[in-house]
Amino acid sequence: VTWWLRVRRWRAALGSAVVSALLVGAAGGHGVAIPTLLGGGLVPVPAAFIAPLVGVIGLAYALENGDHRLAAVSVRPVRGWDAAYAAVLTGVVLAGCAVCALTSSPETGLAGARNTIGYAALCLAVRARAATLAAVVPAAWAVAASAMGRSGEHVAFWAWPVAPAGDAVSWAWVVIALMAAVLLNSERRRR
Amino acid sequence: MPLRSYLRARPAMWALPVTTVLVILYVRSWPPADDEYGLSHWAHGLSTVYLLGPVAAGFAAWELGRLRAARVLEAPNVRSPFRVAATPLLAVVGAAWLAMLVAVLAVGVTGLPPLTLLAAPFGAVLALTAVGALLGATTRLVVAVPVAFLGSYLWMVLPMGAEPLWLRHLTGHWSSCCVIGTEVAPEATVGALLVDLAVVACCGLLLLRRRSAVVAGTALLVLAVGAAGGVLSVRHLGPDPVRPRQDALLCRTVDGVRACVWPEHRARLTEVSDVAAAAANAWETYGLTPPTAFTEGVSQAPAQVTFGFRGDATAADLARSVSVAVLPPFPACAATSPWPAYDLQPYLAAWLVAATGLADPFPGTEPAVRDTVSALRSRPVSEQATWAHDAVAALAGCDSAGPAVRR
Repeated sequence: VTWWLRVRRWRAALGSAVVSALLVGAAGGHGVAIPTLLGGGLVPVPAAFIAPLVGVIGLAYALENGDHRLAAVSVRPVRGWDAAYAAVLTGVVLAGCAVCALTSSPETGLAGARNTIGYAALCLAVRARAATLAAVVPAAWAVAASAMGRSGEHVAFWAWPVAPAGDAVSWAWVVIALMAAVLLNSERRRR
Repeated sequence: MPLRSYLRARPAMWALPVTTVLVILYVRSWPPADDEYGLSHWAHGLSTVYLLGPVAAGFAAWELGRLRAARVLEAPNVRSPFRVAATPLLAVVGAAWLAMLVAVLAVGVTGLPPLTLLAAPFGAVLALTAVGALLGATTRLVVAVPVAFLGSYLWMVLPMGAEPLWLRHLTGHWSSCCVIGTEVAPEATVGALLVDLAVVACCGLLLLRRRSAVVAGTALLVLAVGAAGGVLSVRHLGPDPVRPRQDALLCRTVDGVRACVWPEHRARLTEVSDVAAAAANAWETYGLTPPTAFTEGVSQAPAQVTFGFRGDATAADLARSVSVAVLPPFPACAATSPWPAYDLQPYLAAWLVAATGLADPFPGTEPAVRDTVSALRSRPVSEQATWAHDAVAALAGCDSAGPAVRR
């Protein structure tokens, strides 16, 4: 496990997760003014909606390391360890969301937690097909949602990263991303 | 086929046109800061740098990351590593610049902009591409691309809502430039370019000699000097990267009253000067001393006042504009002590408009103002003159609440 952790760059990955958690916890409620492509000037997006991406970039980097062909035939349950590793790193960022919920706004903290899980699931799902794009897709989705997903109070159905916490469709997207992550990574194992 | 291979090998070649469509959507859905001012149209089109710059940074990271993964830059080459790296990067920069110009054309610009406006966004694309290239050449693709894209994006958008307000001028994303009486401040261009050049130089040095501490120190020094120069250049500017416009105003004098407008309002000069002269003559009949000049530029003398209007303004709008322009300015004493006459302003403004006889003075005004000024206008000229004199005197200082005729 020690070597596996080293290969998975646990210091860098945990560091980025902690930085992400600190950003979410300390500044999650603060709005970042972002221009929208649909007109209407600047629209504030809580930092908690975007900051989890730092941890997800660390997660993508960590999981990209190592020899995946060896891991696929390993006697040890490396896939399970990877899943647990991803869960722990995501949990660290979720702790930051909990702090944000307690100190700033419960709704923002909850939406930040949704985004943390959604970004991580999307990262894992994309990683199964194109490892180098694992963190690009969540980042691009977040930027696209903030730039094109809102018009006034209306949030497009696909713009789950900028939807309020009470938006059921945004949670459905996260569930879909989680299912895709599980399915795509399981499929690779069978091969 | 070389072209086909080139397009397949360069994702920026097909992805940036897609981004171009998005930025056209952006510029068409949000009007410029001043839709009758050519410079504002250019600035609006060029403000797409906030999206095109980060996209270019992401693709630069991708291109250099591919070369890094293949160890191309370290391999023995006929061409220098710098030229090998520059080939894909120039394609990325060129595509982003072209996309920006397409966005500008989509706004519907006329004429050519000053270099002070063009240089900053074009320099920003170059600087962000350099940052992306450095990340791509030094870190794994999985990290380099999202960090280059997201980091550049945040650099572009975060300063827009952050203090100090001048920080936003350094990014080259000048969406608030410019209303008709302003133009780009050269200090803003110098500041943005200093930062851009420092970033390009820093990244270039680090790319050429990555493992040298001396080069790394020099690169950081260059970056610090450029950033400091940029900050010193823009720190006295306000929220917009502008200064008062230096163009020649077009002027016309009627009955001793001079009216000056910007070239964009050339077609309205005759009408404006006639309205200004008529208003000034009307106020003189009440014993007021009207200004000798109305200008859209900066007032150069106490007898001049600044006014403004849109190109599609009606004659009534013009009369209201020149009337509001002659209201006494905010007195200096009001900054430190109470200003009891402050609520006289709408009454005096409505009376001034009514006195010109050129426009309905009451659209959108409160009923109290309308009733009071209507009653005042039915009184003899001498009483109105006394009221107006007292109101002007009260608004010019902090000692008096002014005439009792209000509410």
